[in-house]
Order: sequence, then structure tokens, then C-alpha cells
Amino acid sequence: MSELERALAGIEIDYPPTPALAAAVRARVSGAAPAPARRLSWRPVAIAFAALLLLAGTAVAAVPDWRHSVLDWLGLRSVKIERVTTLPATPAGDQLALGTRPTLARAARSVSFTPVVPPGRPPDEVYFADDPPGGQVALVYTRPGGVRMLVTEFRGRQQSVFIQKTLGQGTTATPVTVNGGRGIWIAGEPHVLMYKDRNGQVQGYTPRLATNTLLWRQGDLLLRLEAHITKAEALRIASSMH
Amino acid sequence: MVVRPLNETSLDESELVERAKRGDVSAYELIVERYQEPVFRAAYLVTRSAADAQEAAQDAFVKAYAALGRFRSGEPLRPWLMQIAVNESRNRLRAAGRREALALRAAAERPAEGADPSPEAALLTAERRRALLAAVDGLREEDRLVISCRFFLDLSERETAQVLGWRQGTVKSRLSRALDRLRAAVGEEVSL
Repeated sequence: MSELERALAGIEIDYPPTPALAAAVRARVSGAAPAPARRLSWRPVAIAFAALLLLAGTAVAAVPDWRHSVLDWLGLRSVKIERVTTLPATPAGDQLALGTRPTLARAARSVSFTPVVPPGRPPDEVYFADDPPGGQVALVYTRPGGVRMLVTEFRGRQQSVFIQKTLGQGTTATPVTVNGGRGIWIAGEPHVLMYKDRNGQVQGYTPRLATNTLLWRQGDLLLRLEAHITKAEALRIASSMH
Repeated sequence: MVVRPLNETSLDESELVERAKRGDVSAYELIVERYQEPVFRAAYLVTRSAADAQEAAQDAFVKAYAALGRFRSGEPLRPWLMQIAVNESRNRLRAAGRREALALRAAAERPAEGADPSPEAALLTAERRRALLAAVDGLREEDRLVISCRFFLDLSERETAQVLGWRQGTVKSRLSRALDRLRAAVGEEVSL
């Protein structure tokens, strides 16, 4: 330890007295169960992305009816939105599990739909999860040291009744059309999600930081493409998936 | 199911976590009581405001509760809670755009006694300590954070990594660079 480090270690900070927080925290968490230790379902997460659009900007916020038209756009209603100035903290290294890692053929046999894959380069990794009902397939395209693109697919016909969306300022969302299906392009600052179940309890908290995201419907599938790419590029890839 | 009383201070941390995960708010209250000091202090070191730190710490505990199901049992809880508090505080700091200066504890204003375990540190007068603290205050946020974690909160390298959400190697290199910049900032003024 250097002399400087010893000097720093010798410093005693004059902290204010620690306030008693337990009662206030108790009052705020009573009635809400912690998130279960299971994998976070992608269905509410993806639907939450749709909900992002509701907060795309002040112009949007100023027109409440527009919110409903956006939900109708994706066939989703009953979404509760909360705007915050600061995002929740995100525990490090905690990642959204994508499920088991079968071959694409095996994953395709495990789900109740036919996965669509972008033509050209096959995915580097394929994941299968049995949640939501009907199953979910995730296609991962890697690059050195990380993920280049993530595509998730599941049947998205069911209506959601439980979402609480939390996001910061600076996220934009634009309605788009992909292969005749409706979609949303979400770009801007990273955002995090929390959602509530049908009983109003907080059932999930994902520290996942999403990048630019394209969410769209294709038949009864809900697809989500996440990558550090432009809107035009995302639309080109999505259009090739049919 | 047998429900045991929660008024024992000896309750194991992992047992408290398990209970809280099942929705036992009383167990979570004990967790809050156990860790409110390090969580609040971490928040204070970032916000430099007792009121902001209290808010950030309270919000951190509420958010941690919602996220508890994803907390891996057996992992240390304290740095995880502190990390959430530090993130909360950093967001607030950016929003507030102001900071108060850190102050030395009154007892530490006096020159260190001969019983100080480090003879070099014993030579450092209160004035020099204040100058050093002011120099830390003048560093960029990242440098302040890593120095605060290691020296003011007495966290290990590993805990610091967890609290700041960095890799352990990153903590080592950033601390080294922060100390270099601090050394340059204090210069000959405090003869370090």
C-alpha cells in the first residue's frame, strides 16, 4: 500500500446519521411480492416494449387517446404505464435467461409454430423456452465478445393484462409495417422493465438493457429483433423473414 | 409450515433472504435494518446530501425487494444492495447537478495519535487530510467512486466491482489511474 493509499485509508468521513428506513420501506413493499426466481417471461417483456411507444415523447403524452390507438395497433390493451425521471438500478451480470440451447430443428419441433429465420447466415446460437405457452425461440447472432443481434419469436395472440413499464427520457418509438404486419421501432436510450401480474403484484424486474428494438406481428407470431443497427437495416432483416 | 419469530438478531442472512423472497415483509425489514447504514453511506458519498441519500437508499431497498427473486441465494447481499443505491444516487446526482463537499469526522480533525497503525499516516495532519479529501472531491465521478468504495466504505476490490458494476480487473486499473490523478492533484501540497 502506498503512502497515498494509507493516507486515504486514514480519512474518516463525517457521515450524517443513518436514517431508519425499515418502516418506510415496509410500507412501500407491503402487498407486493418479490419477483419469483424463475425466468422472466418474454411475452410481457415484449409487450412492454410495445408499451414504450406510449411514451415516445411529449407530443404523444399530450394526446392520451393516441395511446389507445397504439395499443390497438398491436392488439394490446390494459397496459399500465409509469414514466420516471430515473431508471431503476440494474444489478450487474444479471442477464435474461433465454432457456435451453437445442439445435434449430429441435427448437422448431418444441414450439407450436414454425420459427422464421433470416435468410443467409444461420444463427450462431438457438435457444428454446417453454414460457410463454406455445414456446419461444431465440436466435442469437454473435460477434467477437458479444451479441450482435437477438431475435425472439413466440405466439403473441394472447392479450396481456399485466405490464408496468418504466423508462427514462429520450426513448423514441415509431410505428412501422413489416410484411404487412404491424410493428414498432424503438430506439434511443437504454431502458429497463418492470411488470405487474394480474393481481397487481410486481412479478418481474429485468435489469436487461435493451438496444434498438423492432417488435412486430407476423400472423399470430410476435417477433422481436434487438441489435445495434439502424431502423432501415432492422426493417430490411425483418422483411426478409417470412 | 412452522413460522419462527423474526426478532432474533442472529438470523442467518440467507434465511432472511429466503423468507423475504417468499413475501415475508418482516424478514425484509430486518434486512433493511441490517444494511441501511452501508447503503445510506454509499448513497451519501455519491449524492453528498443527507436528504437525497435517504431517498435514494429508500428507493434502492424498495427496488431491491422487487428484484429479490432474481438475487442468487448465497451471494453477499450487502454489495448488491449498495450497487442499487449507488445507481439510484448517480441518477439523482445527474438530475440535481450539485454536490456538497465531504467533511472529515470531527474526531479525525485532530492529528493522528501515535497509536495509529500506519506511521506514515500518523504524520498526516488534519489539514493535509482535508486537502486530500478536497482533492478527491475534485476528481472525476468515476475516480471518486472507486476511491470512495475502496477507502471510505472499506470495500474489497471484489465488493467494489460488484457495487460499481465493473469487472474486478477494471476496478484495479481504474483505481490505479484514479490514484495517479489524485497524486498529481495533491502534488507537493501534501507531500505525498
